[in-house]
Amino acid sequence: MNKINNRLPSSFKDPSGFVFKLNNTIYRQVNKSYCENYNILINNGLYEYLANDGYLISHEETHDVDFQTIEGYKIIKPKQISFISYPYEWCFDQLKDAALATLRIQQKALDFGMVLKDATPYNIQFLKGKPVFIDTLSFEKYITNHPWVAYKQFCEHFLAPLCLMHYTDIRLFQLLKTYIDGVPLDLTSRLLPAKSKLSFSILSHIHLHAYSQKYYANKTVKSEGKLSLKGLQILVQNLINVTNSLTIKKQKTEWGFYYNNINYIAESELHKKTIVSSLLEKASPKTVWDFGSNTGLYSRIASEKGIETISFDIDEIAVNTNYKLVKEKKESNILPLILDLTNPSANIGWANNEKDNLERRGPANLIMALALIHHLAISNNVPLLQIASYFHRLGKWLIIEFIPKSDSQFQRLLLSKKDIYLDYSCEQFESDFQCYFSIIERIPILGSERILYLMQAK
Amino acid sequence: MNHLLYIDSGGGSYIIQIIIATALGAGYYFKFYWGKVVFFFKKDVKSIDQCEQDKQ
Repeated sequence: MNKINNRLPSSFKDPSGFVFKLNNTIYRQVNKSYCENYNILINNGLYEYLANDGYLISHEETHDVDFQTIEGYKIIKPKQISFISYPYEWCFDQLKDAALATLRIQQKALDFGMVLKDATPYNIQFLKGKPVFIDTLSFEKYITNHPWVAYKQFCEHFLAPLCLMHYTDIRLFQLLKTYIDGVPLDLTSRLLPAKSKLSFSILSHIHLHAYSQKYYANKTVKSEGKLSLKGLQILVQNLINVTNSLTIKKQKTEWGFYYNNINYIAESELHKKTIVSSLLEKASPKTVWDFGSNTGLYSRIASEKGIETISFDIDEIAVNTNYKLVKEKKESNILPLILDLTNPSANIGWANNEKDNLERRGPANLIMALALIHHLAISNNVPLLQIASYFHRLGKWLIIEFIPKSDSQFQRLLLSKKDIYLDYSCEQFESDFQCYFSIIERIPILGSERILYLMQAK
Repeated sequence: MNHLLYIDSGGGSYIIQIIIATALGAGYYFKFYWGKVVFFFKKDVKSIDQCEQDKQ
């Protein structure tokens, strides 16, 4: 009966049920211990309201699949998500929107006599450009006068990193990689500037909250009968207000304003777009991962063809701009994410198995690496053969741009470095990449010495 | 405590959210009733003005 092998390694914390994979389809087992809450959620109209509004992932109950353990009560098949992203890959506005979605769901749950029992960004995924709550088992019956059990989790997972990015430095989102169970509030309090205490909400939800955690660390606290429903609603509304007030300042990053500074001539840019479009049509992929996409100029050539596109870049500001464009244009096929390709997301969490690295979430049908190779080969000294090998593991097709040494962008990288890259040439590039790929197309870009390639994995 | 609770809700977090909600609630009701008082006097002033205009 115990078919534990199908269970996703990340799904072990909540005794209400778990997620498992069977024949490449994701299912969720609802355990008997959660049956009362599950029935309330389904029958009181909350599920219907949230699913219809796109806040909660929709599902159907299925009898085609056996229970995975003896605790099974129902098996549900949620709408499938093709790519799971993690909060440490999101830009500021994505984390903020995920926080606001969580709070609005909490508000609505309270209206229906329920409450969120957890409030982690891992319960959110971005579908068609919008945050969607994916954990159907996170709702439980509201107990009169009971404080919000997930308040601490919300502050540590959402409010703390957003405040750090707002007040201190946008790069501090990286703390989410180390602290996958939320950024400790005492650390947040120490990293925030004194002026953050001028805001009543930040002072209370972060600084005094951190002090309170420390003060009550070894004391028993009776939790029943303390916070009225109205009080809880006011608290949630205040969290919405403070989250809404947080923004990122105009922090200058290396690549945040890239397209304002490049020296392409218009003819080259237009030609490059035309080539990328025709190469995409030739490969006709279903999924594209565009690395070094900046604000997604070339990713959109793929996404506008209806191809599911993940638009990766290392720069937080560029990814944030990309996400804002997605929202403005209501785009549904493009997901901007932060990724440092020289140190991509790793397998982390319990037994290094809770959160998947990039490779495990692939392969993509097609990888795009435009104006990127010189950054990997020169800025990070990665040998061309190793770049080819990694791309081969990530995708079946590859559209890649070769940047010659004579290019002004290449020379810029050598301003403070000695040119030790004697092997870096077009011939060497082709030779190394042909160890892993077959070259299908080789098209020079007009008005430049750059070359675009379409390659197919061997 | 609910038997399905599987995360550490934190004793200090319970206490602080009650204090914050109480403070916010007090502020909310103060604003609400203060608004009513202000409205009452404004209305009063307006009605006096209106009476004077009517007389003219």
